[in-house]
Amino acid sequence: MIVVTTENVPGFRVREVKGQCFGLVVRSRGLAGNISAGLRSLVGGEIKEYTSLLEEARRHAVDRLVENADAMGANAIVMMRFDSSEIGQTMSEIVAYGTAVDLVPEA
Amino acid sequence: MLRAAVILAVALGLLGCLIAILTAAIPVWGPAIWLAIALVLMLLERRGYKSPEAGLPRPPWQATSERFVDPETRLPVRVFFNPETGERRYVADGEERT
Repeated sequence: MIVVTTENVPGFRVREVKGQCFGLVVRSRGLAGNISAGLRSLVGGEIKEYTSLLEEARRHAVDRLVENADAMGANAIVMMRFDSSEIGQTMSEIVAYGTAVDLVPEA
Repeated sequence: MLRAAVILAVALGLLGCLIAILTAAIPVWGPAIWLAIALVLMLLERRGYKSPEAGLPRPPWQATSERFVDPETRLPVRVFFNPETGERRYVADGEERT
């Protein structure tokens, strides 16, 4: 499954557009992680707990996006974008969305 | 390491409350209960999502061109895709980057 942020994939053409697809996840760091992050924010520098939280959330969202595109019969996702928001004060919502397409090599 | 220190601090606080209750008959049941709940939640906390695995998967898993450096382990990671199920896996592929 090719996942790109561009509209076109060099060397391929779009045979069929399957439609929009997205993968969404809401994650939290947990009690110990949030307390650690709060303490670390007092000192300054990278807040590793939240870095790993957001990294994992994006991976999880892309995994779900790919799974959904595969269920639609697509072999690629173009124009992939992320969007994020906060739920409560400790939870982060990440959505990865794009257009599921069927790509074939250009003749 | 900071997470372990936080858990240790909560455990010590709970221990202190229990000692105060048992030896000095100080009624600190409220803090003790909250510390106990916090300790259980911290120990049961789910951590991580698909940490990089060792060993290359066999077909039908296919290697994609996606590669990145895992910020926690500093290992280069390659993404594999299973076209039969639509699943993705993250496999450590190389030595730790300093």
